Amino acid sequence: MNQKGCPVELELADLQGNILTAYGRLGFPFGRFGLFTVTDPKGGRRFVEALRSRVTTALRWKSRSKDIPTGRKEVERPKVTINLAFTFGGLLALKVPTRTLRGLPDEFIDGMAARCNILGDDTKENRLANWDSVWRGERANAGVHILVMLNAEMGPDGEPVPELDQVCAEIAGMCGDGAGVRLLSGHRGPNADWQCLSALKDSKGLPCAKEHFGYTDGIGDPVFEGQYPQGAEKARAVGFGATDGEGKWRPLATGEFLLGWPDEAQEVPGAAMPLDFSRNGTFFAYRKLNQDVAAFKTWVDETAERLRVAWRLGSAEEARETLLAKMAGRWTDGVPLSAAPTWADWVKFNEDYPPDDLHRVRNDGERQRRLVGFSYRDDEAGTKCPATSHMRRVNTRDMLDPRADNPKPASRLGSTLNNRRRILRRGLPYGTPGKDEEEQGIVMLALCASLQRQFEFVQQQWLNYGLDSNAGNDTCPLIGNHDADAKFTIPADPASGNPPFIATGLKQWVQTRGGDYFFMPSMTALRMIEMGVVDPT
Amino acid sequence: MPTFDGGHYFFTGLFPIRLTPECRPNDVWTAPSHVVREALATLPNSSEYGDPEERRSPFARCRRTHFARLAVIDDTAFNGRDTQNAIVQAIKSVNLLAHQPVDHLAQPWLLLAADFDAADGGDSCRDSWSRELWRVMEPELRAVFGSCSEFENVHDEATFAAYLARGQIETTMPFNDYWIDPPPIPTLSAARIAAQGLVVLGLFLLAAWLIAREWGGGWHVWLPAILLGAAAALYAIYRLIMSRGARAWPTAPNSDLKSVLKSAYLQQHFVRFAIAQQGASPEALHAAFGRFLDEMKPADVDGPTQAAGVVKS
Repeated sequence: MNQKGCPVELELADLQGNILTAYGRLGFPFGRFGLFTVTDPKGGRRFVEALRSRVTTALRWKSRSKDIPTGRKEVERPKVTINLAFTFGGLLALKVPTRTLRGLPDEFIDGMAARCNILGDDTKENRLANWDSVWRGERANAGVHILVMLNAEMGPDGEPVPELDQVCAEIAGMCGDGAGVRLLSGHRGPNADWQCLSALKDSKGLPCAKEHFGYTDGIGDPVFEGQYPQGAEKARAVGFGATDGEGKWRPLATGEFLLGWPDEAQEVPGAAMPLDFSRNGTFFAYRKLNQDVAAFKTWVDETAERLRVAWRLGSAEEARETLLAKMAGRWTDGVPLSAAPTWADWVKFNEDYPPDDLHRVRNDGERQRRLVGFSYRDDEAGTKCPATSHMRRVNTRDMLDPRADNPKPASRLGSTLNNRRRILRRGLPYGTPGKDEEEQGIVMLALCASLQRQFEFVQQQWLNYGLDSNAGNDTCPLIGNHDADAKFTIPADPASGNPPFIATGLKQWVQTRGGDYFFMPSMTALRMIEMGVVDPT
Repeated sequence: MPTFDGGHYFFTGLFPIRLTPECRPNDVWTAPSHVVREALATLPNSSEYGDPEERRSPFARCRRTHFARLAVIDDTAFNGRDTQNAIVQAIKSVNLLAHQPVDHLAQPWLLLAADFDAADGGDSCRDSWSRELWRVMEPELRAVFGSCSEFENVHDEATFAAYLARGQIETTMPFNDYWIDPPPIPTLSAARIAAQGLVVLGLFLLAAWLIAREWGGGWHVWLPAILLGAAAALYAIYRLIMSRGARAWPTAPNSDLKSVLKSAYLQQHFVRFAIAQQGASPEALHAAFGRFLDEMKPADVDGPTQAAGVVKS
């Protein structure tokens, strides 16, 4: 696409800031998310008006990473970023016209709780009743309408910069009786009014990309056309974009992640009218996922011991790390099993391509290329990376190529069946490691142009079902739903002489604690909502 | 003959639904298609493991039926006006504002599509299935078919079998899912196709030769013989290919319903067995597998097996 025509140049000042890049990676390791309900449309619009000029756009500030250009305009780096998103109930409460509302997708109108049977949020082990109370209000009355997302830099004391508290107080001050907007309370955690988020820290006290189970997270996010200024995404497509049968990579189509742009089907899909209401906006699923770290670690220790005996592994540590890697598809430091299938390979990989810092991933260099630049064509049986591992489920790469066996590479289809199922992952962990009396987990924002086609499909078909992985009803060993019969089969390399290992007794380590579907409008649409001048005719 | 394929009979039948409103027991007049739809909406159609038995599809009581589908077809789809080339229409002075006739079905129809185990595609196999259905689910069949024309004449398994036979239409696209590997069907070789054509062409040439020998002749004998012979040869090849294509596939191994249920049952229990025996010594594994075989009786399709109509044992 666009190989001969004019390349995609996004108007960065029209896009909200956390779509193109995750703030956590840009040096904002803290977050506070507030949920608001609109009680009076005029007041609601005044609230949006007060915040709109302060919204952080996708304009780039001076980059620490040398290979990403900053584009036409470099802006001052903020201490605290501000972004806004709306539920369907929010757009309704702000009096967006009916004709625009009816053009919005069904799943967005339904909202996340109503889609619980698709998402697996309605099982015995994972119930809506466990959601934080802030999410459980009636949608029509005091439901979640507006999400305000704040991300902050770290101060010298390792805490968020003081500006974060100031902004929170300022925004809370805009609410109350007569204001037409109310800050909703009821988040589990230290602050019932704001969902507090913070990146985990490494041994030196610096924020890192780890999550609570101990994995380095957020390595393989999609790369799409227009994502970086001056077409810089083309050089970064390997392992992140779409691959053809010959193993060549290209960035995904813009329309997979932004509304109003051509997508992977080479069409501009229908969107809420007028087009400038939808264009440059996107949808996301907000999912607060609680991680039962203690139960997870107990199970991993017990199961690793059985794996050690079955596979005659050298040490308890090797068995533990191997089990963790087979579940995720990556070793805990992010090295993919496809590049280093065994413990010895992993050790050698880290000798050959050492990380620049403990736990952290460099943005460039050979190590980074090897962390993402692989395919599954040579590992159909999953003896290196199990087909049911987390990473292979959420991003199937070329695994589902129906013509993978074709001897002519040009006739193979590469990642075709994966290209329309990609999501951008944003968000940060919450909770303090080691404090098991507190809840720990992650707030994940899954951004995509179609929640139904992308996010819900991956959640339902690839995470909570195993058919496309040739694994029957088996779910994702890490974040899937686990009933009494849940199991995870680890294929063994026949050359090793080991039998396949079947892990059983998987628990519901990850439980949904709340969330909803949000529309993150462009700055243009934000102005239209705020002014009440959306003209759908 | 796609009505019978791969050892399965694929039944398709259409049954006219009455148009005269019916008076329900509560004295409400209701469209017969509504009555049929209501009966279908309350017919159990899927069942999870552990659900009470009344949630199970009544078709599960017939241990030959793989799938059954019932639907109401209200009318033909209207594809809009028959269009023509705009220039042709202009020359013919077609009045585009004059309505074209729109075709309709005379009444709604009930569709029954089912596939079941059968020895062959003969009518007796179909009728024996119809009779069995009547024996195991007469109340449900009465509720569903009760508003169909002439169903009042159905009162036992013989008349029900005759009723289904009367509504049967040819199945043109069966869905046969039990062949895992390609079935052993010989591919028609190029030599066989060529032989078919050459034999027919040869017959025409032989006739021409005999005519020429008997009565003499030149191009006016040979040219028609060659042209007609070539056309006849092509037609013979076409018939050969079509007749091979119409042949039913052989029955896939273990694809009758009882074997399919047994296999689903064995798979689930074998997984549990494999999990339980991880790391067992060869002797213990051998002994345990012996007990597994004794308990599961893999060769006995009537023995311990999965209940029909549920997804898990």
